[in-house]
Amino acid sequence: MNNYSDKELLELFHKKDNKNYAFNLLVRKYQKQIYWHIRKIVINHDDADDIVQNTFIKIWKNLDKFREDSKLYTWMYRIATNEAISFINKNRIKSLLSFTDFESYFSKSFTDDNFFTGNEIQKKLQKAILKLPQKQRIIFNMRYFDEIKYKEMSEILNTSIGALKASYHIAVKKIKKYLTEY
Amino acid sequence: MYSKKHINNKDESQNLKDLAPNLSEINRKNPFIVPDDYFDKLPSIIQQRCNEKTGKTSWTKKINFILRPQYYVSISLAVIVIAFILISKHNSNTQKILIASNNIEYYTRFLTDEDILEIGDFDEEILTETLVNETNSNEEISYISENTDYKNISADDIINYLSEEDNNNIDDIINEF
Repeated sequence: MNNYSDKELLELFHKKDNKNYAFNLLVRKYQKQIYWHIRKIVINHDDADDIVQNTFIKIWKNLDKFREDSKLYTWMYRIATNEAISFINKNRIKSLLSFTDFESYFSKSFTDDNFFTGNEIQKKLQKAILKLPQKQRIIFNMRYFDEIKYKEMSEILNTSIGALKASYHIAVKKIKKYLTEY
Repeated sequence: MYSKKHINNKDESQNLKDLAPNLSEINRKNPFIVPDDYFDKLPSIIQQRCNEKTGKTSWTKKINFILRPQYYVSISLAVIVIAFILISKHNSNTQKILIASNNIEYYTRFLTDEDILEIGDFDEEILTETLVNETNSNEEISYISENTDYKNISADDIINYLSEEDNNNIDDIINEF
């Protein structure tokens, strides 16, 4: 069981001989949180798997430069969010060039993906969440499912607490409307 | 007594119930799953990738990066624009040359050879000096002498030529030879 605090892990990481060991502990400590955060954004397991690996590789490369002016967890979450958004934007451009509908790509993941076990109402909720604008969707997931505090969310997304609250409130109203109509 | 956090969370869940009752009733349990042992294997996969020699990107990876579909359109457009600019420049230069040569022909068609020489301010001294300096091989001298029609050059021609030079006194030249 990993009982090291973030500070201890960082100290261990900075010692040359223990770098790999420290990083391994870090991955084991945060892999699930990072993975699920990404998975809720991109829906598909294979995509989430690629992105989570890329996220941790980026963390590995930049952990030496981490200045500890924010929490380690916040910093890692921020990297994961940016990687997921970059992935979506790249695929959006790809679909634009190939004249395919990228939005339906997400919806298909519910029907084709073997790794979704929710019932019909949960599927409906996920589809409603997909209708939200990208950032609003991330805010909703972080608040509704992960119950992340607004203060932490503000550091991760670089958005004011007021804007986050407003965005979440609007997201709830839109989802409510979707669930009512469909 | 309830903590502030508890009260805040309670407020928000109450708000959600009031705002969207149907949403608040949905099970928040995670509907997504992962393959078996996924999280057991993930750390070692990540560690392996981190420890791979990153080094310089191989040329195949660079080419594959450039040949990604999203770059096809932009690369094609760039090639078309560059080709258009080059062709325009070439045509422009060709036209300039044509115009220039046409103009020269237009303006010089009424001029005699002597007029052209005067316009050009042709300095025979420089030409002669150049020829003399450059004509230092026997082959060149023999070529010139073979290809010069001395028979058709009369004595008068020579005298006229020499007398045209400044400060040339023809009598002095004749006395010398």
